[in-house]
Amino acid sequence: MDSKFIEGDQIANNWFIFAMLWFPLFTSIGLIIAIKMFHPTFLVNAAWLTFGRLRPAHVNGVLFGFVSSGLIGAMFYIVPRLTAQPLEKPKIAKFLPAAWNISVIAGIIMILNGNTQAREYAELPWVIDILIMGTLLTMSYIILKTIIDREEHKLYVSLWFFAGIMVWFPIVYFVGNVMWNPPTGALNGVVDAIFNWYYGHNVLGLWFTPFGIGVWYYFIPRITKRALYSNTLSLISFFSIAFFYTGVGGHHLLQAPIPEWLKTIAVATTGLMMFSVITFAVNIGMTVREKWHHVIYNVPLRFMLFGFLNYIFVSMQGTFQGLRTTNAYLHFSQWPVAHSHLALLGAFGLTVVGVMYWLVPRISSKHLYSKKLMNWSWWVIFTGFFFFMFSMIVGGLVANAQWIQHMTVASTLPTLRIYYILRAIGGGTIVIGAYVFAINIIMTYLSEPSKEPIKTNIITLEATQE
Amino acid sequence: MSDKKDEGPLEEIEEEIEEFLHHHNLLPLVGGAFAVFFLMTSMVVALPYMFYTGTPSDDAFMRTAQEEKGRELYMSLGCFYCHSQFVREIDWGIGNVSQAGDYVYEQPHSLGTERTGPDLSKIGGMRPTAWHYLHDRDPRSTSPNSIMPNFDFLSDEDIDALVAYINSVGTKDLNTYNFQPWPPAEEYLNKSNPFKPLMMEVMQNYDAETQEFTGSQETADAWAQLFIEGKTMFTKVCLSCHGCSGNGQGPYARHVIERPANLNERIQNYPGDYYHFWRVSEGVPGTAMPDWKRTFNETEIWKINIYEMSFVLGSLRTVNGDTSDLEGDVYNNQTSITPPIAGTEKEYNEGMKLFNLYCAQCHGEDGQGDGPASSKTPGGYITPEPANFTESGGDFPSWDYGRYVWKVREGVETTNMPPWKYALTDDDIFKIIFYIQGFSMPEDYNAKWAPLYTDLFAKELMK
Repeated sequence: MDSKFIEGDQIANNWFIFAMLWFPLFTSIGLIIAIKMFHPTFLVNAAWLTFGRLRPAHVNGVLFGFVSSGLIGAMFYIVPRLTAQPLEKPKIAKFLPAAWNISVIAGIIMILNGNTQAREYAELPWVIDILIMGTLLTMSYIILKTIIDREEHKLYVSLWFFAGIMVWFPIVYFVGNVMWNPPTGALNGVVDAIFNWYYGHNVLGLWFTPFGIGVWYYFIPRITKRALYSNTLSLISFFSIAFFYTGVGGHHLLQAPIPEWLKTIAVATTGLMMFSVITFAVNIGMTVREKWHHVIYNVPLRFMLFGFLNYIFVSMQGTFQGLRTTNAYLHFSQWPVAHSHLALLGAFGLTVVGVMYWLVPRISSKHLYSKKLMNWSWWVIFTGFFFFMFSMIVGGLVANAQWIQHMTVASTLPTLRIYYILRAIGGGTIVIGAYVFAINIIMTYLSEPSKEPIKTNIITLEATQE
Repeated sequence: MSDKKDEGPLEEIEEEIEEFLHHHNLLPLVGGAFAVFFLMTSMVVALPYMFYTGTPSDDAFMRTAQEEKGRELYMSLGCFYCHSQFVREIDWGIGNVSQAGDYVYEQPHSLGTERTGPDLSKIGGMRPTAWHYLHDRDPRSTSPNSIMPNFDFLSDEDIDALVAYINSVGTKDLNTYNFQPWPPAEEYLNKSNPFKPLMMEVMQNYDAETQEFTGSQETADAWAQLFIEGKTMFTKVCLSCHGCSGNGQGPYARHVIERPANLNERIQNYPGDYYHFWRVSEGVPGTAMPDWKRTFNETEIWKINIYEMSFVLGSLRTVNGDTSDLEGDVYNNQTSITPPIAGTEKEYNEGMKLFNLYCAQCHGEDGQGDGPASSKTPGGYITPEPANFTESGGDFPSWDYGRYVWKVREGVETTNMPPWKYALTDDDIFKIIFYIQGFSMPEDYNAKWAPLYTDLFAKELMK
């Protein structure tokens, strides 16, 4: 392995260790709150055990702990390679994974103790916001400086996205968290909701999505050994994300009393978002063409391409449900919950799993502990995911159908019970898969370094039998 | 690549982009992306921040220290994850549609995104205070289906604060709410009945005591025409649930859980004509009342409304009862109609069933004109008084079976007697008439009606 990448890789590795821990831990919390939906007296003896406290712990842990760590780790691996440049300020960068994750965990503990800003997705208290901002700005400096000082002149598309995130996300975080107004980190009235959802959606649109796209653009051509199909399409998808994604937050408030023109902007950009999604989908789809069968024996690629497909699905679904009429029907039920899990878990979470299965052995120069277990984790997660999605989508539609006839919420609860139970079963299966994944990665870390060099091409199941 | 002859425009663009990407280009890319990001951010958050401030609405209340503490608990316990706090235009039966002014004192906002539990934006004052204590400590003690956690671990002081907050939300001042929900759509608030001037004119020239109309013939005819049009539509579509008297006891009423409105009571409580119009146009969600705007145009709905007003105001008889008698006689003379049924016991019993189902709400089960909706009965409202068949039986000449048929089939002008031909078959009507004739004095019956039937049962009914 080229020595100038070692520092970046080590930092990536540290991010992955956190991601590996948080995936099973915070999905377990998700399972606990799923059980509460049909067994309401389960764990209710203290405030921090109630749904209202565990839910933000689950959401923040999965978003900023698991998925963010995984994607940032991938970025630290990718950026030096695409720039042919060692990471800037590696001594400082080394502290980033710990600084970020300890801040997030501290924030989650504060939330569990009731110290929350109580704005969905922006619950982390002000002190934690400051710590996160510090980490974020340091990371921005390091990544941007590495890209600016690059040796390879040509800017590969993944770098645009990473550079973009590093420029716009600190602003999104600052504005969305209303950080100039401590300690509430909020504004008055519906304007606060507008800021909240500007942030809430852009955590997805301007953080996870460009991270995911940068990662897919790097790993999928590399693993399938195909050149990227088109830079034109990449360019369209890049600028349309920057412009259209930024404005969609208002579609979370289509029936709330926010200005009508803002709803119109939100709905229009929600539709126009398809530009970025379709160009990206075509680009990756054409890149992988004739190589789709690789997913049969290449499990990391399978996770990544499943994540890619889920991203396309969830974006189409997002546009569909972000229109005024569909939104009025679908809002408030489990349907949107399914939507957000399809994005965060199905698209980005599982991509992180694929990336880690592929990268961890390479970075640490060890063979993966068990390829069989890796394949098992796929089937467990996939099966669980199917029931998880099915229960929430159907349960959501059932609730919506009852509400549109103006049945009261309380009277619809008995019909939803079966879907809540199915949701917990499906979700619980995913959690089992998460533990299998984590154990596999831990055992890989604990194993002896490989004497023979790790193959830089794909890991195949056939390799197990060798 | 460049020496290829058949290059399309797309390939040229591709090449230009490749060119661009090979040079120093970080600034245009990231700078450009930042610029569009910044532009959009300015539009979607900076503009609302600068220009969108609501003024406090009727549902916005400054909170006391205890209520504020309760709100902090509400937010920190994450209640808002399951309980939304805004009423949408498509919601019904929660309260007024939320407006920006409802939230001016809130920081952070508590709109919420889920309705795992009910919306709470209009909960203030809607439950007795003690109910909240029971519910918060053990939700299933008050709401058997609830999936809310028990908040039994909260201190008494905390529960006090929480309950105080919940009771301060939205509808704290119940005076601004009555039992009628407001039309969700603004457009209905400005509607007024185009036939109202005509109705006012008729009312001014009408004496309810003597049932005499002293206005112009033109007005009388216009009213009669309007009234029969409304009554016809009512008979066709409204009667099956609301009943011919509007008392909500039509035959279909026993089939629905949410009982049809008693129009006499309900219309009296409407805040205005626009409200009545809204209800008929949009229907009542969650009940069998459909949105009639799909079937009728606005003018037709107003005509139905005018007719339904007679359940409150009484019928304005611009056409005197003699007209109906006369028409019946003409019909009788033209057709020389006699009962097409034999007058069997079976027909009599069927007539009785139909009469009790459709007619008794005004005419009374014993045909004395004293049904529950009749103004003869305390609490009744149908004026003028429905016919008493024992008395009126004597009015009918023996040769005049046709008048009976006419009155039932065509109704009586400017009264609540509907044209039954739109609701019942002729066969039904003949059986009902046979049964009604049984309310006559025996001598009337035996002289006039018994000879018309062929069956022995009819002939010997009053012997």
